[in-house]
Amino acid sequence: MKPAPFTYHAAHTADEALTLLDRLGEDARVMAGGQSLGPMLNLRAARPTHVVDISRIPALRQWRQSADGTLHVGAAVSHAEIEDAPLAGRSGELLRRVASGIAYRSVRNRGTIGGSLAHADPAADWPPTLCALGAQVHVASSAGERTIAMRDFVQGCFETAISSDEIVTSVEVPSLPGGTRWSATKHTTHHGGFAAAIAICVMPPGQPAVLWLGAVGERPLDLSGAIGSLSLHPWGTEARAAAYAAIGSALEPVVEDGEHVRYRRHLHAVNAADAIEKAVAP
Amino acid sequence: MVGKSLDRVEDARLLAGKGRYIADIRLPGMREVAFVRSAIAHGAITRIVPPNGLAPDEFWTARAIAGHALPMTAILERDSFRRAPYPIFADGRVRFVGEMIAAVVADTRARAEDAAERCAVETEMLPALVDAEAALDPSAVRLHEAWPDNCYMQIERTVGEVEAAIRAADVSVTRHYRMGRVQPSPLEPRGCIAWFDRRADQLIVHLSTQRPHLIRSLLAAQLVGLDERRIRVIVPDVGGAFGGKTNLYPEEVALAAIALQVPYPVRWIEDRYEHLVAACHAREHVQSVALHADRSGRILALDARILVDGGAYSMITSTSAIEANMAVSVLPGPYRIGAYRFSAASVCTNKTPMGPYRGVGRPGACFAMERTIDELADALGMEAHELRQINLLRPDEFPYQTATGLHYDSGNYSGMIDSAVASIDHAGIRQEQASSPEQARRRIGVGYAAYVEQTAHGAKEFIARGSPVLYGFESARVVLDPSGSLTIFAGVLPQGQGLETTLAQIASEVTTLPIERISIRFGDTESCPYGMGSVASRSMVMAGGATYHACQKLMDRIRAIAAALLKCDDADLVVRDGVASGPGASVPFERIAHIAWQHVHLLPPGIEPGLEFLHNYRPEVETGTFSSGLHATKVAVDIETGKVELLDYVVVEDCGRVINPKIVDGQVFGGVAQGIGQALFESLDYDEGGQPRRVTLADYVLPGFAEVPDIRMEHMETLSPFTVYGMKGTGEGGAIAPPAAIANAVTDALRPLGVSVACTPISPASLWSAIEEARASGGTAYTRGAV
Amino acid sequence: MNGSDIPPVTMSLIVNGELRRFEAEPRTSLADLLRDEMMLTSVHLGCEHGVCGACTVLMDDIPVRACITLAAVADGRAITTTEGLAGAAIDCLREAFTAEHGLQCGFCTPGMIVAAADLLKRKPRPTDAEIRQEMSGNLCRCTGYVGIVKAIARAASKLPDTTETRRGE
Repeated sequence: MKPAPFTYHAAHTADEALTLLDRLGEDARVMAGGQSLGPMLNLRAARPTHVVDISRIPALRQWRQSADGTLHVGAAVSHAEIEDAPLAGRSGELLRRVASGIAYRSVRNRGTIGGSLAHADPAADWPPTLCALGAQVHVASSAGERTIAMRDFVQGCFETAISSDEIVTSVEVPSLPGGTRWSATKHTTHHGGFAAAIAICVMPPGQPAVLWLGAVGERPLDLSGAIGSLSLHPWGTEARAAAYAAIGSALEPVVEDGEHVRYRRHLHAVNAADAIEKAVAP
Repeated sequence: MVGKSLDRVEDARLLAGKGRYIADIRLPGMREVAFVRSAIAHGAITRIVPPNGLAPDEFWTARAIAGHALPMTAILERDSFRRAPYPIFADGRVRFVGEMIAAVVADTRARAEDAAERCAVETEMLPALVDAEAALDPSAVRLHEAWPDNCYMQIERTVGEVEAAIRAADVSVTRHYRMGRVQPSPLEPRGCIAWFDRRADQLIVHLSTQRPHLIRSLLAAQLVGLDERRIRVIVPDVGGAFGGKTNLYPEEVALAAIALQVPYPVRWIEDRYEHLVAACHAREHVQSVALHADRSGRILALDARILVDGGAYSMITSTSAIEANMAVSVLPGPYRIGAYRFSAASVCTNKTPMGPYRGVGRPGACFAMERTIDELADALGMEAHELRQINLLRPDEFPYQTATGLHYDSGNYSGMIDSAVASIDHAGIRQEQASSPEQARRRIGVGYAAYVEQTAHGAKEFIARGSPVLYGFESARVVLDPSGSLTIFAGVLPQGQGLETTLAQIASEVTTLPIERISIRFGDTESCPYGMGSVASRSMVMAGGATYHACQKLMDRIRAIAAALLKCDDADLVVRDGVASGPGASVPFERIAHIAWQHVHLLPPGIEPGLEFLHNYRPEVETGTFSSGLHATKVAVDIETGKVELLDYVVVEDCGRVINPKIVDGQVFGGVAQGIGQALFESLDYDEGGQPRRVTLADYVLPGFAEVPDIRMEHMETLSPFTVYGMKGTGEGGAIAPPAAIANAVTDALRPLGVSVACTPISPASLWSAIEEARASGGTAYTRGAV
Repeated sequence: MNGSDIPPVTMSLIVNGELRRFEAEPRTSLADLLRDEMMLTSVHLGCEHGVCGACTVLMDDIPVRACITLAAVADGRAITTTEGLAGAAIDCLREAFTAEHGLQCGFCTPGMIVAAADLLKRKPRPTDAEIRQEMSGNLCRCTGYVGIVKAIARAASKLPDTTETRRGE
């Protein structure tokens, strides 16, 4: 189980990385922490001719929080660094919680937020989380920089809005108002395994609840609308049943057919209802 | 020494990272092997196009080794057994994904893989058999053309008055189960290095295996013109095996065949993909079980049919019939069952060949029997542990001969269940269930499973099974060297069981030498006496017995020399801490050894020089000694997600006299974890075309820290009348009961919802689907399918 | 493409305290480099796809999976394998693994020790539940984890609690 041959390039600045990508074209694969690409290389499921390592670019390794609480997280910041960072505010807390639930510590030590987004695994934690937080993704190519709303970033299964000459440089996460309630629920068959269902619920005071699902279909799913007309307070058996039903019917066309399709649809709805319950329950 | 939880002598080097496993061995000039393996489940090979740019000694196929190595033909000496020769490299036909087609030799493994990828194999696809029941259909394609059907072996037998018992029964329950396909999957995959030693005129094979000598014998049988004396098998540290490293594998024969023809060592280190598709698989049962009982709960008859999916070929020595035959033989378990009818079929399919895995047949049998006991208890309106108590053999019933002819030596089964019921707090769980709301999402349940495990059985038992190789003895050679320190050379081969420690404990007990002056050597056919290896929970009883007796022989001579030197009678000698003392003086072992080896002129007349003794231990009673255990678990089921949580796990274990309690606990804990894996997570399932669906450890889920709960142990020590110290074997026991105990607990939790567990793994989806089905039908729903 | 056509990468690593320079095929994993070039064979390969944790080593003092980390990525960094671990906490862990029977075949053990040492550095007083969560990236097929959990708890109980000083840093 050894990779097919490739040429390795270590980029020391973002510009260097972009120049390399420009030159190498479609045969190059960007590697950040390599926690998804590494296994794929070993299994020869990925066979790039060139690997461009961006994990040590200082500019991508920083995070900061501006005065208004907005978080700017460099693409090559690891999940473990987010888990351990003193991020202030409700969105920072949510990021830390989600980071701490990704795979295992030694994977989190290398895996990066930008790498996770660019990889766009449907079962990944960051895409639905950052969608729910209304994050923006900053990307760059040798032609310049642009910003993509997170909700438009993931286009499909392992497909994103960035092209092969672009890299993710940072993620910008707006702060949430004080008193915002949030929850993140995930169903896995075993600890640290791939998610079978992910739900992120964010409830800013006085504003409609935001609900995003992950590991369902090809890309993060916005179900805020499905629960928008529901009355979630007071939370109880009836409210939960209404939420479950609304989510379930919204999922009907989304959950792809196949083995245990009813169970998978149900599981997503239960997991989402659990997320709402955790966010609502005092 | 015996009975003490001594720290293991193995640990220091392993904790320092200084273990030496097969992949750690480097030989000068060594080259690496990668195999071209079949990507299809069933087909005819029409053409093999070798990768370009390879030298003749870098590419090997069936044709290249023809005349050097023979296909492997596993034998069971029974009339109904059919032979299915397992080619070293596929020759004309491939029968499972992962089957070897060719080997590539290169300087690095990566480059060997590059070349293997460039090998084009052209095939014509044939229909794939992926279901054992479907494979029995007369219209099914024949996997082995000469056979009339797809059965390796079918057996059936009736013991006692089954029909009369069925007529007399007040209650009968019949249930159908499926147990998933799993594999031992030790953390260290397999590996082999082979080279020809011109000076010794010997093929040297470094191998990660459980049975060095037997592999030597088996290799000699495969390699044309190579006597056994010209093969030396050397086994380094083995990173777990659990049955998966017992059989002779085609990779090993291939490497040996290549090494005989090239002037450099060749090495193959298995990767995890290869392990999942080409190392032996295990279990995969389809079962029908009926229990017939009277109103009081007394079991009158047991009626069972067990079908096992044996995969594409029979392996040497296990054969593909091992699983089904064992399962029906041990099905009655610890219960008093006079009337028993069974049939067993071992079926061939386009899957990886079947082999032994911790427990062989027993986890499946335990699942079938113990699940059905719970179903019977439900039908009778009894608590399942009370029903067990009625039918378990009582201590005064031993020795006991089962319906299938197993001779139980001793046991205290009823004591075990009492102990487990108290320890798991059965009454408390029932209260908790009663007080939880009817609509509760989280349901609690309790389940039990009992088993009996035949261990350390001898020749007679293996003759009865039709095995061409009898595990009739075990060996130990002890040497007290001139410095007075003791080395024991043993024929067994540990893979984590701590035999370096426990055999030393026995030797220390007999010789009075401290552990620090005793070394144990394994795993080199040149230095260790012939032995049958570490399988079938036999090492402690058999190699322990051999060590005990060899040390006794040593002590006899030591005492004789000491008595002569001290001019006293043997009766006056006291031996303590390696010093023999007479009434007036004493002599240390160092002095005795010095005389015995280097100053033989000082030996008393009639005493042979040297202090070296071999003992081949053959048990006086060859039907084995029977360990037993009772597992109890408390589970919670989230009925919305179907997820099962193990809240508590209690093991009551009886392996007779315990030599080292800490090590026995460790064996049990590890077995339970594997059983939990089988119960909840592991399943080597295939798609309709015969493609394996679990090809990485991300798909084939081994239970981790968060999936295995703390396990509470209670020891009972019912001694065997037949063994040294009353020991019984214990290596496999832990893995036998968990699927049954967990399935019973989950069923207990979901009984109010009408759900009954009928398959492993108990996946969340299968549970939820059954809950829904029961809800819709208003009746009972049995869990179905795998993951 | 043939691997030999590709120019090798060169790298300098501090391995167990010693500065070393290597040349290797770009596709070489850190695990293979440590095993083949330095005979640091405690770095065990159980799966080679980042699941089992047997290859866990420290890179700049944090645990990483050496099987899915390219050797080239470790250029300029400090690598510590089990062979190079030392100090009171490691002694304590090793003693506890023996006392609590936290190993059998020993194949997962080096990765366990690396991961456990990191855990005790970050959480000097872990609960059993935390040990199980934090260690869940390392698989063992022999022990059922019972002895390992007890060993880590035992080591923790014997080491000074540095939680407060760490907070004050």
